[in-house]
Amino acid sequence: MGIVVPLSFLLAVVIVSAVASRRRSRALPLVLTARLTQAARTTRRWRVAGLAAGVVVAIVSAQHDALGRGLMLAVPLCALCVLVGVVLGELRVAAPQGPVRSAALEVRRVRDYLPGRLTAAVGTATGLLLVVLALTTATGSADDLGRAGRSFDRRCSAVLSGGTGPWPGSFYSAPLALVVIAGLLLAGFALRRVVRRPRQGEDTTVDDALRGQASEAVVAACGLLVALPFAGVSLLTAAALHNHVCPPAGSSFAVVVLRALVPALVGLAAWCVGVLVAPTGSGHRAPEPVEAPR
Amino acid sequence: MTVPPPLRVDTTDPTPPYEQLRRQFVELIGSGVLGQGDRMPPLRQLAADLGLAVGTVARTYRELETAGLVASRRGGGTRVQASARPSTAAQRERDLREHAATFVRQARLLGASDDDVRAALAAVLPVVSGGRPTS
Repeated sequence: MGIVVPLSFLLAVVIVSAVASRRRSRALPLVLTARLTQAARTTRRWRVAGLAAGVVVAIVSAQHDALGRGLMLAVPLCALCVLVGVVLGELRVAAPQGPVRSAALEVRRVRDYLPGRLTAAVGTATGLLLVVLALTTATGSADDLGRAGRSFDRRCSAVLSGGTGPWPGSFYSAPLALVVIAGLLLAGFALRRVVRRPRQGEDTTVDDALRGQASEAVVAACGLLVALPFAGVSLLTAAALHNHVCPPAGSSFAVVVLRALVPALVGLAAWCVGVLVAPTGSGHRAPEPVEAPR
Repeated sequence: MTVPPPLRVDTTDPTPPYEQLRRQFVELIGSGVLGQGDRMPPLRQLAADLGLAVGTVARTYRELETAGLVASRRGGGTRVQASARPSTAAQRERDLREHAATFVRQARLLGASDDDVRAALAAVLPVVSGGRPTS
């Protein structure tokens, strides 16, 4: 247990540096028209503003509540701010002006712009987090001061029972689930907005790359939304199961799995930070226009 | 295969935008560019790209639906229901020559020479193709 946290931190630093430098080298050489330059500047500024506001909110949140809920929600709240920044940036992209306007005969879909591997990793982490939270919520009990879902109590025999905490029951899981669900809904709205905002001129390659960057930021924000709180939930659950006087059957296996998840989740969070710092927009599939027969 | 020209709307044209769009879709379906089962651009996407109200594009789609050219399904978008007429290579060739003849007639009325006609065509081709490569 003692080595898991520093090892994960070291891993995070290495991954953030590697991802950011690799992505900078893969960034598209974009040739921008005036409209595209304006759109790129607007969306990037709002994303950075969201991230900056998120860091402030995270610092304030981390200092709130001595029982760890503020610290647990710090990064998810930062991710929410990034998502708000993406939405506002996309909403501020100018609509086409002028008397003659054109539109490609195409169907743009959200999945055309999602980064494949990152989306799969974030989706898996989100699913696992919801399963773990459901289990810890169902098995949580009130602690010695009556705070619901903050302890893991278990009757060992007819005369002996034991409890350990803190346990990620409803005391922690309810606010976390609320923020995660709000973040996922906001991410869905942001992705729809990224796809539906007006095209900026007829050069679809650069416009699609900008949409790809925004979609990467949305998925990376979702990754931050779930990865670090999930790492914390895993650490708490593993510690409580390990320290229980009569742990349930199979708990030693669960402890090993939960501890193994921590570096993986910290690595995922680091990957997401790398993507947020240096989005490339190169990993998407451009929407296929309808082709005319010859 | 060639990429079809983009949809265009001229807001200074006395023809209302929904009708301009409707005509272009009828041509696209009639010429076989949009075949049976092909998905039409989503309403909100097309409205945003053209800077039009969603209701304007919705009216175009409603008119096309009334004419039996497209069908909308909840959650499935709007799809082309049937090509207005089968489009063979010979027919396309005939239609192309017909349109070219109309263009040349209009150019002659403006007093254009053969070279002027060719130059105008060369200037307009990349614009109408939407900057997309054609083969």
